[in-house]
Amino acid sequence: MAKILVIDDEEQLRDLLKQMLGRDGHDVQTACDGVEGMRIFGQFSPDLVITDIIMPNKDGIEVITELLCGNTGTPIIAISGGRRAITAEFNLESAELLGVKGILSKPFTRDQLREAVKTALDS
Amino acid sequence: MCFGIGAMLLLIISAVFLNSYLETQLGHLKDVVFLGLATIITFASQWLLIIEIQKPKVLSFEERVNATNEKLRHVLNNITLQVESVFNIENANLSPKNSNDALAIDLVKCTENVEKRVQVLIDTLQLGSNDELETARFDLLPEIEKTANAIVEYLNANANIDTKLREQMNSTQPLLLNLQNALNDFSGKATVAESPLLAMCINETSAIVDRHVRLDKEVIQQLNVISHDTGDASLQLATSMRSLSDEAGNLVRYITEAVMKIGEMDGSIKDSVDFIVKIGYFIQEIPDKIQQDIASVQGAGSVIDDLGYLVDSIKEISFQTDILAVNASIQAAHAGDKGLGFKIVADEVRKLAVNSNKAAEMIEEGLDAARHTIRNGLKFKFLDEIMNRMNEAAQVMDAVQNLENAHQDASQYYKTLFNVINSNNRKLAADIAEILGSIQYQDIVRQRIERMQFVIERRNDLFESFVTELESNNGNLTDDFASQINVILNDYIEDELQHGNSLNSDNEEDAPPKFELF
Repeated sequence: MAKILVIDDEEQLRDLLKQMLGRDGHDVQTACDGVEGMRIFGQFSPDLVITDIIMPNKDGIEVITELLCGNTGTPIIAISGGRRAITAEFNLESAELLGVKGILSKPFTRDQLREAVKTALDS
Repeated sequence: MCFGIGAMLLLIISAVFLNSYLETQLGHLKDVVFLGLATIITFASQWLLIIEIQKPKVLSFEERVNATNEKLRHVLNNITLQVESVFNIENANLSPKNSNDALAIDLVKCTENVEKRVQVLIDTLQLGSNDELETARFDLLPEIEKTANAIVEYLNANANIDTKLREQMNSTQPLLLNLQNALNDFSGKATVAESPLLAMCINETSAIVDRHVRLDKEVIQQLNVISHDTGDASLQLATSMRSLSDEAGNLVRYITEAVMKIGEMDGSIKDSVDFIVKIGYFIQEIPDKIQQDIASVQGAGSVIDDLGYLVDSIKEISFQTDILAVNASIQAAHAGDKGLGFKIVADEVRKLAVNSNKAAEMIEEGLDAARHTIRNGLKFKFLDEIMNRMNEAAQVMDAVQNLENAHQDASQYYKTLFNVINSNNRKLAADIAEILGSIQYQDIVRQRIERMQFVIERRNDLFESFVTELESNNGNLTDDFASQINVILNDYIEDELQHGNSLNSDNEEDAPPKFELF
């Protein structure tokens, strides 16, 4: 199975994702924002990164840009629920334009997550 | 010819059947008519015969070659049969046991060799090239001469051999001579322009080469057009792409500057929001302050009320003092002159009491005025108004909070937007740079086309020389055109290797430096 890094500032969702992906046999590590996410990325060398978009310190767009500019080749799935005036659609469209391999609008089901992870890892 | 014979027969038959009739009709002129008709028909048939004979039979090139080859094959086959008969005779009658064994053996070997060489020549006629044909011919000629000499020597050494055999052997010699002549003639036809076959070959070759040269010239012309078109299109495309690249670069710079300015504006907005938040908090505190002030004013009212009680006490004291002074004055009057001094004191006390009362009244009036003022200040539903103000203050805080949220959203939105635009613009700029590199390769293509044109022109010049020499020297080539073609080929390959092909090179290290043309 794959090594997956989950970056999200919502602790509950982080734990839920860790639990769901762990049940599928993946090795999962989590980070609460982009800064911590990039630090763990360097140590963990994951096969896949799942990142939220709106986060404190360093947001998901910055994480995606940094990973893609670094030519790491690691596939990325962007997740977002939006916040106030900033919709999830806008965030996910932006992530797609940057070149992520998958997008998920919060809330999403386990099957949707599993499908997105499979597609991203196969790519 | 058939027509002529037919006409003659028709005339004879007509003459037989019409003789009696014409005799009655024409009389003695009958013979003249017959003679005239016979002359006309004779000339006509001969004329047709001549035309028929002289009429050239149109054969294709292949048919002519085949016919010539067939004739040659026929001659050679006849000769071969003769040679074989000699060989058979030798085998049947010559015995190597007598004194002339060695000559007989030589003769047998010679005839065997001739037979083999003739077979090679026939095979070469079918399938071989001109060079191979010449080789076969050169190989056969000495064998024929040897065989002829061997026959002569054998005949001279064997005077008593069978007459029939001698006759056959004697007839073989002219056959061999004929073969020799035929081969020489054939050789001449293979190399000299008098040979119709060779002349046709030369003409065909010249025509084919000429057509190739003309075709190549057309191709070169088209390549020229393509080269120029490719160059022009590449330049135009490169100019457009350069412009696009500059615009993309400008856009990236513009967005970068915009991000920096927005960062500055963001800081300024944040400062303003912080300031407004402070004002909000200040406004929020105002109702409490007012409440405190009201409490203070109400406290002042209580103090005034307390002072009112003191004024009443003062007035009471003044009234009591006045009564006491009046009583003292009455008692002083009863005392007469002795009470005069006391009366003065009593009067002064009374004045003091009156003045105290007046002062107390004045204080009372002042306190009433102050109390009135305070009561007027608090009487217009002041507390309700304060509550409204407090609500408004709370709404201001909500508005400030909304403003702060909107500012955060706007910052996040622009941050995302600029990140995406910037990232895509960088990709676009990189793609444009890549395209520019590819367009530059078009110029390399143009250069390669020009080198191809050059080599084709060189080859065409050589072809023209080849044709000229072929036609003027009757097929004898003095220059080694094959070597010259090889030189042109090697020059071209070497030139291409020097220029290299950077796009198709698998090994970047071995590849020549990339071209910088624009």
